[in-house]
Amino acid sequence: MIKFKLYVDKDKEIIWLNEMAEKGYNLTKFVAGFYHFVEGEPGKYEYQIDISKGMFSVSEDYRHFMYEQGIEIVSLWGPWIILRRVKSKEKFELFSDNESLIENYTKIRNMFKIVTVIEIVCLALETVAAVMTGKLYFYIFMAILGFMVLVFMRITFRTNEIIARLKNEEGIVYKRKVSKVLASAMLLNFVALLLRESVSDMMFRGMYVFVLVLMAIGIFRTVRNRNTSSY
Amino acid sequence: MDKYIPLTETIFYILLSVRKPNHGYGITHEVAELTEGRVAMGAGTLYGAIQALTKKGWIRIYSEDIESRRKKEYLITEVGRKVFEAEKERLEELLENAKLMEAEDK
Repeated sequence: MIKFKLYVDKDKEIIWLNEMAEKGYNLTKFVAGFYHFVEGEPGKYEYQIDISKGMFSVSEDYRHFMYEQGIEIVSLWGPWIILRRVKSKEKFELFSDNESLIENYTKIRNMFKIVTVIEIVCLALETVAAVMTGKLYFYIFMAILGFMVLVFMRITFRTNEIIARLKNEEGIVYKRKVSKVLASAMLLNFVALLLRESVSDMMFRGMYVFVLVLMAIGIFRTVRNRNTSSY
Repeated sequence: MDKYIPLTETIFYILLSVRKPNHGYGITHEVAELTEGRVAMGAGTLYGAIQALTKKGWIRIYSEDIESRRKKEYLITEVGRKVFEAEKERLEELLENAKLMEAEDK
């Protein structure tokens, strides 16, 4: 049986994979959103998802280590590793302490951060192309990329929240270094500069004044955050 | 090693479990036994910790059977032993001082 789903949140994905396994549908392969299930004994397997430093590969070390622990590597997709283990007394969890949990979520968040930035750059380029040529398909790509940017921005923030909560538990106060306003202003600045040639002078000046105002507010808030400690 | 940082439970128990050569599964098993099931070492946690400890030089690879199953065993190093000893002393100090709390009760 093949099912198509697009998951950005690995925690939700794990819940779904385990729900399927509970019914007897065991994932055997994952490729680009297509989940291949094989029917078997209900509730036999438990699934987990890890993230690796590489893409589509894991070290021999890792592979052997997992094998020893009775954990099977089901599928590799990008940096994601789908694992499974025969159900045992304890729930299948990969991380048993906050330190390693934070490490794992940080890897995930950093990956999402990079993807978001790449998507934003692509969106800016599509915007330029759309405005300059006026062709419909560029506008369509713009819409799709815009949606993707929002999706990845959202998951980046949500993962960050998880990290902040975990660090809080460890007594580490997670302070935002750069105010959100400043970050948005810098982003808009980049987009405005890219669009400079494609829009009228008036429009560009209007946009830029807006960007500068946002930057001023953002810098003010960043400096203020630095001087106050957060509880 | 100027600034002394307390060891996490995970690191403490891994170091303890490789006082004699031990491999991944063996470590998980021993920790579960020693803590009577309280600490169930996650595979991801253990893998990451072993990498980190090896990098820090607190544990080292003891044996590696290249041919067959490539059963990688780890063993604590001299540095690891010193770190563990320091932690033991810290814990003893804590426990000693903890007894003061009972004195206040009476």
